[in-house]
Amino acid sequence: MSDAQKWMESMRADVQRGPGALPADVRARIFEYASARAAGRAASAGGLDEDVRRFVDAVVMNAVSADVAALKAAGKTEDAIYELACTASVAAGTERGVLGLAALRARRGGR
Amino acid sequence: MKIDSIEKRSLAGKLKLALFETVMGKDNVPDIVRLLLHRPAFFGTAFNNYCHVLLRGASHWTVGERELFAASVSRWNDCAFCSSIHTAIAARAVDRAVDTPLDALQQQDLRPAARAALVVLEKLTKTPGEVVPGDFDELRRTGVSDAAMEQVVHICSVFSSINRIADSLGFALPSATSVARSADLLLKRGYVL
Repeated sequence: MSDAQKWMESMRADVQRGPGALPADVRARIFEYASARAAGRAASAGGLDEDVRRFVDAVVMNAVSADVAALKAAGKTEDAIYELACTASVAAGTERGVLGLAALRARRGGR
Repeated sequence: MKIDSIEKRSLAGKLKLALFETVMGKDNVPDIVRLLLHRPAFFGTAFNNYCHVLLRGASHWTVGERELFAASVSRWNDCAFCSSIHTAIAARAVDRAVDTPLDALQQQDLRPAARAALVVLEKLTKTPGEVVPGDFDELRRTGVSDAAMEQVVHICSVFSSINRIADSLGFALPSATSVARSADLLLKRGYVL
């Protein structure tokens, strides 16, 4: 595994499984949902609050429109919002790494 | 920034921020430094190391090319914050004025491999679900190694992550002075805080 791959995996693990205000299982669901949305796969938002789903959709597609004020108005703490933004962003961003590396390796395997 | 609690940090974080404020001037420390010193175990340490190995580690690509890739991904993700700083670093790396526009850097006399890498990066950034193995063929034909192609993919991965954090949490656009000082510091010192 390259150093870059190692750090990518570490970044993905930290936001899902590191200590946080949001339970790890919620962050894992956010991560899975954001990854699928980024890749254009069918995505289930099962179990996520509607305001959280809307925020994650914005982070994935047009992050500048992500509505932090709406989450605060819905009672989310700033720690939770920070974790939500980091988790969804890392999921959507590194999904590009996962898909790109898979395409590269598929070609290598096919040669 | 849209959340105030980002200013909470450990004593070590406070000391590091004070150092940045001394070096750059208090008003010139960009919001990303505040974010990365907030809860680095949650988001920060791995990100910094990921950036550093990609943008300053051993590579087929020059520092200027890698910073151009970073700036371009940031532009395609519509992240003005990251695009401004990495465009400035890319310009400085090739001895151009710090305010050289990204378009001019993309249109400069690039190596064919770097030009082919930009094509791959644009598709991977904008439509990642549509990327297929054949998208790398042109880049492969320029003779670059698998490791060099993987670096290109990772640059898209790490910047597509931070671009979204910057925009969703509302990083303030850096002033021209902040961009210039950030560019000089990052070019000289790299990404490990």
